[in-house]
Amino acid sequence: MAPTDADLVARVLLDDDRDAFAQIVRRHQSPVRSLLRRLSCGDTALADDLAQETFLRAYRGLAGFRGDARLGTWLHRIAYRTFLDEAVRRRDELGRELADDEAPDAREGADLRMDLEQAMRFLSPAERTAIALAFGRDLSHEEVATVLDCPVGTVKTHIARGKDRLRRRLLAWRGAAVEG
Amino acid sequence: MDPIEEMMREEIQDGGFTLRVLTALPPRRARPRVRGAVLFASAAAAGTVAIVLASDPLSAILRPLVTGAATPAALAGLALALLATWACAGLATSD
Repeated sequence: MAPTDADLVARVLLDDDRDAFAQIVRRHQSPVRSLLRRLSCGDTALADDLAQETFLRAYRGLAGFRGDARLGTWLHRIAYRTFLDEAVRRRDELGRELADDEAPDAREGADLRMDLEQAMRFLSPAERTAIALAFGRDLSHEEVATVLDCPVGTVKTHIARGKDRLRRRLLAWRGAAVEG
Repeated sequence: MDPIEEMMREEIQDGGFTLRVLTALPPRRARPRVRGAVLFASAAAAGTVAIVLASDPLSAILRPLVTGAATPAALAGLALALLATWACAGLATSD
């Protein structure tokens, strides 16, 4: 039987067991990298750099993991903070959402998935994270609140506002494509 | 799902990322047990030296020698003890 996350964490803390930490990374790398790709608007190289930094921070701070949230949620929280730190370092070039007048041209013929990818760039990092985790990873609102370090009510607002902005953006593009 | 298939899927998704993280980790810390043994050995050695120096009859015998050959010998002993401690600590962190 595969060891639980709690077993692996205990092995890392007790004996600095690198095999156990490798299992933690292998088990959680996919969702963490996926969230960071979403936040970095598809910049895979940057997302993987930030994911690496996320796991290094997790390794250094593992003693602070109390187990009251799932390990995956705790790692997402570190990933989100790592992204925000990088956005501050780059003077918000990463963290800001696009303004309406920066909208790319109507994407005739592009499929909905690609449109959605583009439309996510119009959301704030918190909205992007809330939507990516709630819809992409099926995290509960409480878990998303833990990741974003905000009240559940704020998460609901982020999701509702994000969905609304995505819908308006997609409809605008669809309308322009039909007219064109 | 077939475990082999699951392992392959994990490996393909991972794409060397786990290895990249592992190589970026800091060096392994010494195991607490070995560190404890080194500390205990150092403390025991220091205690023995203190007892020898504090006991009156031995001090009386050694006192005339302290200014002569005993000082370089003690310094050489101390250097050897430090070297042994350093070697033990190196072995503890090297696996």
